[in-house]
Amino acid sequence: MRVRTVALGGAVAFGASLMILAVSVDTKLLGDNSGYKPVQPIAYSHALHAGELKLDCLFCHTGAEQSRHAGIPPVSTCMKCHETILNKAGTKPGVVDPSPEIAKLSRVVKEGRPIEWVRIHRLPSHVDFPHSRHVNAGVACQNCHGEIQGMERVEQALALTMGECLTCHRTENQKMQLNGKGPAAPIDCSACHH
Amino acid sequence: MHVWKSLGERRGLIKKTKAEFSDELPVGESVRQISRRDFFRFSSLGFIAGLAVSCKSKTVEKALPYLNAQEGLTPGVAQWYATTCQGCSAGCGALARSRDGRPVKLEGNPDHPLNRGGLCAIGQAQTRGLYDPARLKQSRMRGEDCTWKALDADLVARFAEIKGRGGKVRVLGGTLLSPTLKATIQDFLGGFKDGKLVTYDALSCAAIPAAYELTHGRKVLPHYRIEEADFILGIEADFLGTWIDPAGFTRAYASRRGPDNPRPMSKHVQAEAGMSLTGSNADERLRLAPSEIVPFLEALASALGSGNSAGDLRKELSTRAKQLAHELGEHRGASLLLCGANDLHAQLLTARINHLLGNEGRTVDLARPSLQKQGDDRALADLIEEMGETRVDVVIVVGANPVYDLPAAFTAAFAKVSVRVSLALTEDETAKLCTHLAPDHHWLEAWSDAEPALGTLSLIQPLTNPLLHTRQVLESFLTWSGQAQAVLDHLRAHWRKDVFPRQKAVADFEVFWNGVLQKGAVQLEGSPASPIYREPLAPSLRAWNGVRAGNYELLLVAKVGMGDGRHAFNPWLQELPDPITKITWDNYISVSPAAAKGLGLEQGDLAALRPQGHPELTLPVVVQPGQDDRTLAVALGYGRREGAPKGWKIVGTNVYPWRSLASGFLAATPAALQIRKAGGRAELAATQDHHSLEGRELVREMALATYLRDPASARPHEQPGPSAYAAHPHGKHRWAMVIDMNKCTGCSGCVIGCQVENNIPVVGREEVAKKREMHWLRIDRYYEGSEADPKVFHQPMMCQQCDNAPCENVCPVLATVHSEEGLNQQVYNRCVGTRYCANNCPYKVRRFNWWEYPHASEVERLALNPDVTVRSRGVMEKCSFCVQRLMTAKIQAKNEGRELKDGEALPACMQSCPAQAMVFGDVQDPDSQISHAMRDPKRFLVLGELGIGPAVSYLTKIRNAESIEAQGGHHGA
Repeated sequence: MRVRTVALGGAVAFGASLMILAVSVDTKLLGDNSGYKPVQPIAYSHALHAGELKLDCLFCHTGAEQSRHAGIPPVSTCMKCHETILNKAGTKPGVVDPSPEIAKLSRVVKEGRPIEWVRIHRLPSHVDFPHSRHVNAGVACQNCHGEIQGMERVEQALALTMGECLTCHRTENQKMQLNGKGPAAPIDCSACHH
Repeated sequence: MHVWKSLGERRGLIKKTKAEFSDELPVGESVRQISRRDFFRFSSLGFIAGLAVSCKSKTVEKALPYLNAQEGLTPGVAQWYATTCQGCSAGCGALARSRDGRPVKLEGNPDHPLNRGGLCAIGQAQTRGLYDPARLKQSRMRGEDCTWKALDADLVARFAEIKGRGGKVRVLGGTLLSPTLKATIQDFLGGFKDGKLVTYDALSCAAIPAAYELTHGRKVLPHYRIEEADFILGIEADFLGTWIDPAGFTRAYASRRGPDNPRPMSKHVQAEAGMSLTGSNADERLRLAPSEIVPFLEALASALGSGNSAGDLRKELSTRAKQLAHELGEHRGASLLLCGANDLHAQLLTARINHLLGNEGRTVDLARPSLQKQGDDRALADLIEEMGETRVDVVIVVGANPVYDLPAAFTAAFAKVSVRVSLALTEDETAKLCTHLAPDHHWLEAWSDAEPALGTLSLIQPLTNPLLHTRQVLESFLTWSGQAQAVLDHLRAHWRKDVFPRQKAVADFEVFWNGVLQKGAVQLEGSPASPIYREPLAPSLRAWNGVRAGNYELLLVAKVGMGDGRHAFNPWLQELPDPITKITWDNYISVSPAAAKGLGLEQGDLAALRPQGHPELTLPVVVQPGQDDRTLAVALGYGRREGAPKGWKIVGTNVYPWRSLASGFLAATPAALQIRKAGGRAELAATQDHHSLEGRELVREMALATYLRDPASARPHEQPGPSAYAAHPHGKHRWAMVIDMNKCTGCSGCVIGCQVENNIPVVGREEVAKKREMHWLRIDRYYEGSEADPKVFHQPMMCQQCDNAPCENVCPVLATVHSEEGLNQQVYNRCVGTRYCANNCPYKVRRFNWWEYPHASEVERLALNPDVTVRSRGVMEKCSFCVQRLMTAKIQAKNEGRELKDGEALPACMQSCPAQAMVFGDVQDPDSQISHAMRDPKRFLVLGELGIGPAVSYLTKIRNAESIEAQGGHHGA
């Protein structure tokens, strides 16, 4: 009887492994979250701010030039503008804003609680990606984040896998070498993994 | 044919049991029991399960930005603040690194005049105390949690009542370095008719100021200027390990060690009973029982022309004393006698000898004395008496744990005080017996100041908001004296009034304050008059009563990692191997090899030791080469019971009850000792059991005289072995390290620095016993010569970053590979844990995660360095040369569009080395410090003959002697 149970268990495992194989063949690499596009607590539009109004990315993501993290702006950064500019329609300052999304912002300030954004771009904890080095080297934000200035709601554009990192690093190094300069983008493991 | 596995089996002693494999394998039959249909039915069940599993369920992660931008704070960028370490009473300058508002690392402050960049093991382990889960979360009154308001109301009412009837109030503290806090306490006590501050140190030096009061008329603890001494004689003073100011002394000592410093190499002779860290570094070591200290000093003084030697000294010692007196005399004004015995007679003689040698004002600074030990044991004895007679109404305990570390008489007397207030961070032994608990902030949360030597002041600034509902000591005293002033305002007011006028260099207070705050410390100019020796030099000292009774003598010592025991619940420090015995997580009775033989004891045996009239305690025995044959040494600071985090097992045995105040000073009891084999054995968790070099030149030494005759002769004769592999190409940088074994004292600061920086787990006693400790950097200790009187070597050993690394070519998954900067990289996310690399590493520096080592609580996890991956079970790890620090420095330089400067990228071990024994840098830069060090003739490689091209090299140890054969022996003892 015991042996029969084992055999039937084997049958279950066989079926499960077939299915897992089938599903994973069709989809992406492990850890690839491209296309992730969660709903955010405030329907902030990069298309409006970065695209239409042409705000510089670094105006809000101030850490990108100095830190490993680009950073999500504190509410005080939003309020720098939104205390006077209330919405696209241009309501007068001091008048309660008709836009429900900006009203959420005012509420956050009043309550003194930070906004709980849903995190999209996330590298595993054994990877150290320094934004500052890339931004200072002139790598455009869009290289990794896609055409962010056109996104109404942000989605992860690239897989952000190691293959993508290395492809870019190797291409850059080849370009440097063609220009007679030494390689600049490290491909050592410990450059990112430590 | 009869195959046999053992002799017993062959001779028919073991009979094969027939039944062992009698069952027939039933596979074929059972497969026939399920039908094809059943198989598909169950497979489809698996299909559904598989579908469910492979559908990704992404956990939603939140990202919370600040509500308001914090000035000067960029998430992800580390900030450094200058502050003052409060790990012990030495008050070393520290730099604290804060990441996103939480302190994660402490390093030495190079701008501090005492430690000048070094920080000891205890100091570097301080962040753990901030995140200690056992900290008191709020104020308590009579065993119940209460609000601060209620506590203050209750206390203030009692104080008013006591004031009304002129009662006695005592504040009992450990050494308080903060002048502001001392002034505030005096202010508070001034409100009472009889209020007094009583200070004591668990590791007391009170006999020194008491002696100077007699000889010089001023109660001072001299500031010993070891850097000025050409000849140092240490007598039972572990000044490099645990005595007064280890980090500062180590820095001063190391600056004169080795033959190639601007000033000549100092000579160091140490006379001691146990094998201390200091003794292990001496050029010459004498074994001296505790009872021989005073006769030995008398012989020295007598040879220098003061008084007579009683003549009760062993002949070889009295001969050596005469020679030493002569050698000391040859270095008049540049010699130094240090004595660690807390005995008035010994200290009077020490003060007298230093005076006779003309050392006052040179190596013995009395004008700007040390304030690092302010304890007054006589005042303590008076307090115990007063309390015992129920004459004290209030005792407030600050920065001390007297119930744990004082003789039992204290506890009995303490219970008779009606209001007992504890300001400790945890509910320690003393707090357990207190009526009111007013927990202090951790010093990383507080504003304060320190004055470790007269005129040397530093500030303590908070690195984080208080984590718990605690209140700073300063604020508590301000509240109780009815002053409603913020701590920072009070501190600034005190500095404006008392510190600022003591200097003339800066005219504006704000400029002065900001300057000190930024640099961390200030040395005030101007030197007060030095006290003058006034005691007659004739033999007028009172008769000494330290005669030993019985065959053995007791020596109570402190261990480098544990000190007085206040950090007993810091697992980093418990797992730090003792620099000499290499034993972790325990204290023990050290006996000399000859004594062990005489007593029939072996390493690990349990022995019961009892000084007459004191409790008998059972401890394991450790056989210690180089120890005096009549001395039994035990470390203090163990056996803490109260204030532990949940689930903590008691470590070691508390031997503080073996001390007494009988001589007027806290010291080991001179009572006769009884030692007996207790039966049974203890497993000692040592990280090094094997002490021999096996004839290999892992360490090299040379006599100073030989070296000075021909420095080039230090160059190793052997050429590095050939390599089987082609050389690696190197990129822009190539990192290397040179460790100067002349400077390295084995203090183990680097071990803790490395552990904190690299998130190295603590594995616990059982795992250490299985040789599974995780330290990336260990210090190998070798003995050479006879067991009775060996020479000692300390050799820091970490991944040698070999150019042709043996670990790399055996890894089947390329988890350890070479970088273009010469680093041997370990890639955790590739490692599958075959451990081939560790087996093939000739230095045995690779560490394997046998378990998922817990970073226990949510709070403790805050101490982790966010720049370094936390490794999981089944992964190999090892020293990376702190590659995260190299990357940070390189990125900084590149972002600023400049080249990396020499000395900008430093591994954690090197940054805080109190002795500055390590040099690290880029050998591709010919002018870098490391390139200079690489050209040193003393440089040698460990196992260089293997041809694996280690990037770490060492400098030959030079002994200040005519020849090294004179007192040692040959290699491979």
